[in-house]
Amino acid sequence: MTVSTAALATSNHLIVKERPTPANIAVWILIWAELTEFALFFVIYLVVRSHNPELFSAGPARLNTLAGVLNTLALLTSSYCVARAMAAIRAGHRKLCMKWLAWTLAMGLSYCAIKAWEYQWNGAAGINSRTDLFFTLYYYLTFNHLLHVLVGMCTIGWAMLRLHWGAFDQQQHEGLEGAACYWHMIDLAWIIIFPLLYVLR
Amino acid sequence: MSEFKYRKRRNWLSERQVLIAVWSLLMALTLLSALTAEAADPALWTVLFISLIISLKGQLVVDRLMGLRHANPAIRYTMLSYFYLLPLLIVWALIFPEQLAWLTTL
Repeated sequence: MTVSTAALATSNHLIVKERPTPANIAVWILIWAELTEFALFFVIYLVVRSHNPELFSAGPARLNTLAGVLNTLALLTSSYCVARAMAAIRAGHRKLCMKWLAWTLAMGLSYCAIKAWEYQWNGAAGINSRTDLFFTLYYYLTFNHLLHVLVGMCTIGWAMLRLHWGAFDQQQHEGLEGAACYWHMIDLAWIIIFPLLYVLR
Repeated sequence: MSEFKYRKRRNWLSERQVLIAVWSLLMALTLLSALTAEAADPALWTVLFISLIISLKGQLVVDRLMGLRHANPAIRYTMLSYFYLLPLLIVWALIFPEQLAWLTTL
């Protein structure tokens, strides 16, 4: 191995070592608990669907697909923003990190606004949580997810305050990683909710 | 600029490019699944295709956006298994609903 290759290998090794598992074990236990809760909802949805195939086949066509798509795009973009914020803090750019966290919050707010519009649209179409079993599960899943988005927004907001107060920098940003991982978890749950409720007919 | 600083900067730029590519792919996969819902009749291939998209999107978020690609394997594979098992469960439940209904009838 030449000196330059060794330096490259060493450098690459350092880069890998610079990216250990984000956050701490408590955050991961919380994330696993939340994902398990959502997984139970998904299993319940599939079991009820297997007993009422016609009802669940017709249900998605009555929903506002555009709202579902826009919500998915907003959440995926928010996950991208939070990943950019983490890349910025790792590179030591605190202001840039703050900017990307603000974009994350803006995407979260967009999600809430679209969801409010969707619920209003449903109401105008005569759809509510007691319309049938499909819509009961639809409201249960989406409202529960909306609550998680609100909690995630509070977490990101708190992380922004701590960043502003100087609690995070290039070397120490574990709390910020925890908030970012929680936000990604919310996105992960929606990645399954969207096709289950809006796409699969 | 020292060699190390140069490598670090180059690596950060490369990470940004990867994130943009992943975000674009996630957008495209979402639009593709929405188009499938609107254009295609419910069929076996639709269920398989949508489940594959769920799995791909989950893996992209876990590995690239969450940054678990080089993380502790126990945490990474636990997260990834969510996007292997649930799509399989969805495929099974939608293709063989009678079986699931029979198993869950008291």
